[in-house]
Amino acid sequence: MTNQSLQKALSYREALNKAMHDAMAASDKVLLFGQGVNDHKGIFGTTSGLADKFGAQRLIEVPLAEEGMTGICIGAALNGAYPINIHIRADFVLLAMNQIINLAAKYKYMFGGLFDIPMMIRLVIGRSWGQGAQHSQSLQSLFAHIPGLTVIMPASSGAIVDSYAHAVQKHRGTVISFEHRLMYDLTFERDHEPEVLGKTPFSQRRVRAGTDVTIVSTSIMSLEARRAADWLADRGISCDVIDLHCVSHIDHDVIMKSVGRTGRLLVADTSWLPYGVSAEICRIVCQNDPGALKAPVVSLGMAPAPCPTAKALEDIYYPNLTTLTDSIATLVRGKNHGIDLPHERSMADVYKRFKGPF
Amino acid sequence: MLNTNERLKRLIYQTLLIRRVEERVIELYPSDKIQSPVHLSIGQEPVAVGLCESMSPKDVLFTTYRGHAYYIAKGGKLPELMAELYGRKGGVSGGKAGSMHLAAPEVGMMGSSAVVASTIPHGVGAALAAKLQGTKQAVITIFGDGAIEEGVYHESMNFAVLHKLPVLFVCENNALAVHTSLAQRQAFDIVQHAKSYGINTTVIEDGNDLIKVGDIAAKLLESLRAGGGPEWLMVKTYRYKEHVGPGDDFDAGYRSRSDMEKWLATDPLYKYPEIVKEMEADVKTEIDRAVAFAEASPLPTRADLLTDVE
Amino acid sequence: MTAPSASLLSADLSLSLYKTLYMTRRCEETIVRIYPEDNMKTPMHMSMGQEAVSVGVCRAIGGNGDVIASYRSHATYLAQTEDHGSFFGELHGRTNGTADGKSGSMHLADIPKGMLGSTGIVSAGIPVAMGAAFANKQKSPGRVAAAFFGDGATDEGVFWETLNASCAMKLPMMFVCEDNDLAVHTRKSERQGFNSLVEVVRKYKCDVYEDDTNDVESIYALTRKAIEKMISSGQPAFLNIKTYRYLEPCGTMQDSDAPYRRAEEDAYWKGRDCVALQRKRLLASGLAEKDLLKVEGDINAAIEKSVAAAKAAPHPGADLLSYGVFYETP
Repeated sequence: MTNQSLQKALSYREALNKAMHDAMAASDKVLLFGQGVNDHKGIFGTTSGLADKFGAQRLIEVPLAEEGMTGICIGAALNGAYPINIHIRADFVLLAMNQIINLAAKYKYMFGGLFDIPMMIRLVIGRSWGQGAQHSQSLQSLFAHIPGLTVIMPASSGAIVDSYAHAVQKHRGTVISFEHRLMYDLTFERDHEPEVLGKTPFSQRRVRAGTDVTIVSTSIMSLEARRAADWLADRGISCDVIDLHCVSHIDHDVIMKSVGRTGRLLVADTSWLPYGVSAEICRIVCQNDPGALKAPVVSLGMAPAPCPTAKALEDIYYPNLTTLTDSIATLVRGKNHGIDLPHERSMADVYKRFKGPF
Repeated sequence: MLNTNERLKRLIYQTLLIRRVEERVIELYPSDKIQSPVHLSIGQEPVAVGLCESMSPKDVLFTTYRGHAYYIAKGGKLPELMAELYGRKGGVSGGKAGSMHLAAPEVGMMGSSAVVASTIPHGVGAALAAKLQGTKQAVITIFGDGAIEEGVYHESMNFAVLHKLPVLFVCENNALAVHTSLAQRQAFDIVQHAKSYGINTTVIEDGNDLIKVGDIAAKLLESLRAGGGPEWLMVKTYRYKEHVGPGDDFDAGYRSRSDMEKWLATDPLYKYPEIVKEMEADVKTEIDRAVAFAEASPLPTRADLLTDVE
Repeated sequence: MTAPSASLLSADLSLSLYKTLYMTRRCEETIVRIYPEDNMKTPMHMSMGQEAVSVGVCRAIGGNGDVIASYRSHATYLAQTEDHGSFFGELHGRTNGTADGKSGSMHLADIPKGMLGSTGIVSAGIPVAMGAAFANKQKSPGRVAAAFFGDGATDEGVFWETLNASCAMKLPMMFVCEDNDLAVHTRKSERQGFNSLVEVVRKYKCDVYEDDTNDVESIYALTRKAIEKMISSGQPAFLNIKTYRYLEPCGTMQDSDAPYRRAEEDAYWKGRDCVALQRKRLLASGLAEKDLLKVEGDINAAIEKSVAAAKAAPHPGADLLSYGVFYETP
């Protein structure tokens, strides 16, 4: 399948605004909830202009009451609305875990299918520049662990436009989307959109096809993986890069076919490694065909600590292009791979400067 | 319009039905046919019956894990309830809900939750959708006095008042959160506290008064439908049985039998023995049928385990 | 400029309050000045305009209590600790900071000085302060705990849970609401359905105090009264102190042109600026301006030294990355 909805190059931010616009235009059941949905900044511009077009009563400025507001969204969904609840930092959603995990995720099953909770929760991973321990977390695996939730991590403008339309118009359950703040200003070319490897916009995506090593990545790590793969392609290493996108629903075949071809696997996630995406991908490979691998799996993610604020520590807390490229080259060619590496110490700095197109 | 006597009889019939259903649950419980924790409403049934009297099926209600009475009073089907308690495929939720998560969306019974206070915001959200979509629905959200200590109660009340939503907050005040009395837990007067939000408050001292509960609920619901903003009602009532399970617990030390005896004096099922006597046979037949349905209903199988996850 | 009333406090205390006020203001003015140098890579939630609340309350606590700040923590941290050396070290992400640079602006703490921390999650510090009040009641009678939070935090259920529990348990807990009417850009009228927060709080078994003076001495005196009553009655205190944020919610810039701002409100509050008010009072009381300039000059110089020390301090090394995650390194 291809990206139908994207007509031109859009920045991630523009794509989010378009997705919100399209959702509200498609159905007057769609309501936006969030702190700042209707102020002059409009959730980093992603809700700007919508009140003028659709009426301020559909963009609900909320009290700082995450649990209550999530419950209110669930109630509204039960009574015919499609709420989109936005948190400008993913960390803030932790105040709403009772409603999300005990209620939204279970409402359908717990009542034997009597209800759906059609709803979207947009969470912004605040990573960049000194956001520290409580404004930067990537909490996808917490939610992907829970049956009944669908968790996506769009890594391009096309992924946003298509997936959000699918979530609002087709999907009947609760979707949690992790958006990455570092991508907001990047422009994505329509022609470079990854290939969708399944039947719905939630499916996994192939960022780049290759034969030497499989890289399974999430969110902004898919962009990093593409940059590393581009670098290595010029140096004789061919990477098969799969953007996981929907981390809660992984097509085992997609992973196994790629690993079957390459025999090598590197997982690059935006979060911690234990019990996370990396662990899940390893589970999938080990359960399906432990013999498919020619070498041990390599996982890259955040260091096992809360995120420090000091730039000196933040830069080593996250993997960067140098460590990623080195890890791939080592996996394919061994420790003395002899491949020159890009010199880049701070991923945040790169994305703050770089605007795309991607 | 029913005359007063017919109306009272109808309300008593529902009260009796709920009481006898729960007594049947108690009777069946030792057989282990019902393998689900039960939070019995016995003693509190008149509140549910009165509140639901003037609700139409499109008016929606959210309640707590003590939900049998509301399910029946709102119009949920009895055989499906019994089969649900039995964990059978014919249950209202195919056996996945059990006693604590009863729902019947076709009659506006929108669910109940085992986590204290968690359905309060659902009522507020449903009211928001009703208001924005102009559906003229009235919404009731039920909670116990223990739920008021939860922050989400405040968050929900604040939002409902802020947006003038058509929701009736109903505090079923049995003065016991599990086994702790109010004075140990709350540093405020519940009603004065609610009033300070700028919400209209009403208190019914005797939740056993079916007609009174019915009349007041009708008036408040009408006000909601007319766009009058949220309302808040406290109904005092008394739980006869233990917090969870089929037994009595007057020997547990946190309350005495004499407390219950005060409530028995106004309990409509004791107050109108003649009316009750006339109805017993019909109620029994209805319950027997429901139990027979449950007994005959097949058990869910592995094929059902993973349906409706998402 | 509003004329300050004559001081009811001792001359020493009056001057001392001013010094702390001036120091907090000057520290933040310094941040505004040097932030573009890009050596402080941490988001800034500036206290500017609101300093009188922290300075008045912390001085009234006088070291015999523990405080927790909101993420708008600079003034509270500086008022409670008087330590701009660690402050600038932390903002610069250096090893001479409060936490080797791991905290940045949002998580400033100094446990020995009773600064138990600040958090990036609105309202999250309030129950933690209650825990400190609980411990103080058991272990250190007479010692109090205070939670600073904005009016936005009172939207959160956890504020009400903590208020109820503190009152039910009769803890020496002081709730200090820095009421600037704004949660980011959203006014109370868009967030709160009730007419008056104070009226709702009055329904709890606590003592409620209000202040709308922006006068550090008035806030100090009110807090002293609250603490004395709290210790004698065993009931928590709730202080609602009206205040005003000068700068954007996050960042070091003015945002007077933003649609949520009101020119007359801005002029009203800047006309009763807490630092200027106290300065004027001192001059009116007979303190010579040249002496005051000397005091200010000393503070300025000390701050410049702290900034220089921060810039010169080492960056944290890789060995510190995983230090402190667990109680013992496995």
